[in-house]
This record gives sequence, structure tokens and C-alpha cells, in this order.
Amino acid sequence: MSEAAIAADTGDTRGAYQLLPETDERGLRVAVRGRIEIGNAQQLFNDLSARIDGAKALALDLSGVEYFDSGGGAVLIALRQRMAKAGGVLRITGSTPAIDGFLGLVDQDALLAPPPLPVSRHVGLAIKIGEASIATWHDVRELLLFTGEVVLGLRDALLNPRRMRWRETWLYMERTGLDALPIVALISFLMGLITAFQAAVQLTQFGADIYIANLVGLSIVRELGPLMTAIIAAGRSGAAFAAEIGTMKVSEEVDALTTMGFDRTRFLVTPKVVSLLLMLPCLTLFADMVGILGGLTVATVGLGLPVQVFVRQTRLALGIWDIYSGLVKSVAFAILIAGVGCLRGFQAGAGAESVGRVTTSAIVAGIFLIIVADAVFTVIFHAW
Amino acid sequence: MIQVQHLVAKYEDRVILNDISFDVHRGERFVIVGGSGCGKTTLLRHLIGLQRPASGRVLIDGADVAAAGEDELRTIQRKFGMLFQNGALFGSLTLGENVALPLEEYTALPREMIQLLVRIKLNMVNLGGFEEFMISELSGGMKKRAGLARAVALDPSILFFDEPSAGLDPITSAELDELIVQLNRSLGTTIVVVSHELASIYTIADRVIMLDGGAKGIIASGDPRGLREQHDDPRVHAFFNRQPRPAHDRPHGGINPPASGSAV
Repeated sequence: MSEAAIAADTGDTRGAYQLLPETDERGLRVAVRGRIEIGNAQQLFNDLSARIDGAKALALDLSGVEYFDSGGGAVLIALRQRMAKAGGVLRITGSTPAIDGFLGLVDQDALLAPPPLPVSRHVGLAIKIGEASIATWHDVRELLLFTGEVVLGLRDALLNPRRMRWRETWLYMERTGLDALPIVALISFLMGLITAFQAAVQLTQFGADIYIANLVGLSIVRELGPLMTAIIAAGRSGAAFAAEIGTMKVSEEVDALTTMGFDRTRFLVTPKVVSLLLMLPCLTLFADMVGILGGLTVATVGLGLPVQVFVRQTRLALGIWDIYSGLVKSVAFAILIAGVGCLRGFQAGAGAESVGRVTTSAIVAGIFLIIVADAVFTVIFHAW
Repeated sequence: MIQVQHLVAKYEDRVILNDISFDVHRGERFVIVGGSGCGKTTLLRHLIGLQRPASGRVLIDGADVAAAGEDELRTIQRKFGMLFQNGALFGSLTLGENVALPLEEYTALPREMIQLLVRIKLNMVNLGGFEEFMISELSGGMKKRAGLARAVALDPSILFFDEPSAGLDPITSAELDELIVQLNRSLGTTIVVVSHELASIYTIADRVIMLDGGAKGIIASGDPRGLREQHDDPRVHAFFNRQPRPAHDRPHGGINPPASGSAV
């Protein structure tokens, strides 16, 4: 045997191998010594490939291999593939128990076959449009069915209040209402502050400082209060509802409820819708007050208006209907947020990823519906 | 290979395992057995570094898992693979991508080589040709085998299994047991299994330790067949012969800790 030993440092600290090649009348023979592992598999394959160089037969003596893992297995199979493509043959003349053990674990013939082609996911435009239409139709149908379910659930709750799951409802009221107070306070205070500040810059030019109370009061109570509170609720509660029901769906808890003969609406949906229905108007009122307080801060600190003057002007500007209209909106927003949150939860498929998707969708759809409903309300109230 | 020395495991103030010590030797098939709630899974989580012991040491190849920093722990964790009870495959990836992930992250191999290795691993667990399948399209038994393929992706010298037969039919379960034994025989992989399935235990184990919830520690160790034939402890005898416990020895009420409240 020619001792043209080539030490190949793989750059991997885990070890190296040696190739001892010689050529006889039957073709190329290479003895490999050392370690063949995942870390140096590619290098060994490259080294051996370079040596084959058109040879029709390669005999590998692996009896000197100290360590062999699936990296070595991959080299052998890749070499076999390469030799087969060139019409050659790879023979293994020496082996170790570890190599035999490994080769015994895999079906080499199956691995030598070309890998299965990835399934083509490409579809034409017509099919895409068709599929999207069907999906939209299903979505609308589901939405209508679910709306019916929610309405029936609310009717049951009204007719049979004792059958309501009050314990859950209280819990959700605490989470959707009480726990939301700090963030609602912060955001509405800043909204009032910002509105007042922007208005002050303009109004002082005309000496109309006092009307800052009208502007802040009306815009907060009619529009910004209900809207911002609803958007916060969509992000907090709508998302939470979707994630909770989605996770329950994934872990088959929803199926368990259904199998036990329970009405999923009464157990999962009504408590959430009712709690948000009760809490969102309260949060809106709270936001109205804190928002006006923000305006008051700018008016007194920035413009030097006395507190009493600001309060009197606000009371003059605001009619009771202004406050009611905000509350009416918030009731509608609550049903939309809780409804779409629960619906998206039930639409979760399998796995963690789908829970993430339905949660995102619950927030996006929630905010979209809030804005659309707000526009509809504005038109209705204006025409009234 | 693995040495556990005076390990104490606690959840808050509740002691689950009190001062247990044992060794697992290289190339051994070692099974941790015991009834539900005895701390088997807790012990396993300590072995793989998911939980730190209250006191004591867990040495893998001489490196202390319990005292290791983040980086050191990651180095130790590359020496072993873990098959979780339900496979714990990533649902957002295909089966092939799941197996390829550790290879892509931890080796510098080119794409073709990784693809070939993925095919070898899947072929080993009889899932050849399923590369493009999404995880949700696989059955329970296939998920287990797929989890095993991912666990052996980097040819670890130790493999941990949490309840490999849980939720599998007897045939699939027996096939998985056989595969575990084959991996051990062919590749010399050290096998550590947590199980309470007697059939699996008899097939897999060279040696078992039995944990008991009441004793909070090891109450028996040795060859499972030997333990079945002769052991003075009625708990051990009952377990290995699949008999109910003596009435005075049964706990009242729940065994598992109450679940903590979920947040909305």
C-alpha cells in the first residue's frame, strides 16, 4: 500500500481522518482512518470525489475508522449515488461494527432513489380567485351563523339570567374592565391633552380660548372617548378571547365541551360578550372624564383659564345626548369586539401558529369593524 | 456518562425528589420508572437542564448541568437529544424542515448534504418520503418517530425519552421500543427513558430505577425482570406485577399540583 497519507484537518476540533489511496488493476482503493462524522462529512466527500475522478470502481476500506456517525453514512450514500450516475460501483471492503450497525438501520436502496419532488403549490389565477371567493363566502356564512348564535345566547341570558355563567362573567368583567383602567386613563388623558393643545394654538389667535372646552368636550365625548377605548379593548380583550378560545380549540377542550352536551355559546361566548358589553360603556365614561381632565390641564396650566370657567363652559357645551351617543356606540363596539374575538378563536385550526394567526385576525377585524361601525353611527346620528 | 449526586428537586417549597443519586453508564439503556406523579418527568427535566436543582449535581460527561451558564449548558445540550412526549415538533415547519433545523443551525454543511442527512434520519425511523408533510398531517405514532428523527439529527451520544409509548397503540409502541433498542445497539447511543409502560420497560431496560412519590426518592434499582421476581417492597412488587397497591398505601386526593391561574 502506498503510504501517501493525507491528513485532512477539517477545521472541526472534533477530529480528523486520513486517506490512504492506492490504485490496482481493479480500480481505486482508498483506506480511511480516523473519525468520520457530521462535522467533516462534506470535506471527506469532496476529498474522495476528487480522487475518484472518472474511476469506474472505488473500494473503500473503512476498517481503520474509529468513529462513524450518520455524517459518514451520508458520505457513503452520496458516493454511491455519484458512482452510480457515472456507471461505476462502490464497494466497501473493510468495515467496523459501528458502520455495520449504522448501515443496518437504514434502507440504502430507498435512499439511493432520487428524492421525492416537493409538491407543487403553484396554482393559476382563476383557481386563486375561485378559492378566495369560496373562502369569503364561507367566512360570511360563518359570521352570520355566529352572529345568530351570539344573539340567541344573549336572549337566553336575558330570559334566564340564572343560567348565565356569572362566575366567569365576573372574572372577565374584572379583566376587561378593571384591569384596563390604567391604560385607558393614560391614553385618554393624553388624547385630551393633545387635542386641547392643538386647539389652543389655533383658538388663541382669535382670542377664542374659552371654546377650547367645547372642542375638547365634544370631540372626546362623541368620538375619541368611545373610539380609543374600543380600540384598546380590541387589542386587550378581543385578542385575549381569540387566544383563549383558540388554545382551547387546539387542545380539544372545545370538543370536550360539545361532547359533554354543553352549549359552547353559553359557556364560552356569552360570558365574554356580556362582560365586555357591561364594561366598555363604563370604560368609555371613565375615558370621557379623564380626557376632559387632560383638556382642563392644558386650559388651566397653558392658557391660564380658571378651572370653574372651563367646567362651566364644558357643561354648557355638552348635552346629555352627546354622552348617550358615545355610550350607544360603545355598546355596539363591545358586541363587535367580543363577537369577532370569540369567532376567530373558534376558527383556529391545529397548532400554535394558527392561534397566533386568529389572534392577529381578531385584532385587525375588531379594529376594522369598530371604524366601519363608527362611520355608520356618525351618518345615522347626523341624519337624526 | 451521567452522574446524579444528591439531587434535591423542589417546586416552590414542595420537595419532589429528596437527595437522590445514581449513575448511567455509557451505552446503557436506563429506564426511570414509577407511578404517576412520582417525579419521573421532574427528574428528566433536571437531567436535561430545563430545571435547576435546589441542591445537588447532575454531571453529563463530567460537566455539571446544574451549575452551567447559558453557553456551557448549550454545549452540553448538544451532546444529547430529547424526544418529548408528544414529539414537540414545530407546527409551522414541514417534517423535513423540522429535522433539518438542528443541522442548519449547528453545522456548516451545504444544503444537499443536509437534505441527504434528513432523508437518512427519516429513513431510519421509517418515515422516508414524508419530508414535505406538515406536522398536522401526521398521526400520533408518526409524530413520535418524527420527533425521534429530529432528536438524533446531530448524532447525540445520549438520547432522552419522555414516555415514548404514551398514546400509541401496542404495535406502534412495540416498534418504537425496537427502534430505541436498535439505535442503542447499532450506534452505541446511551438511552435514558422515563416510562411506566411495563411492556416497554421489559423490552428496553438494561437497568431501572424506581421512584416513589411518598418516599420522594429511589425505592428500587436493578434489572426489571429481577425486580419483578423478587423484591420485598410491596410497592415495587405491585408495580412490576401490575397489581393494585395495598389499600393503606394509597394517597388520598390529587397527586399533581394544582394548575396556576391563566391570564387573559
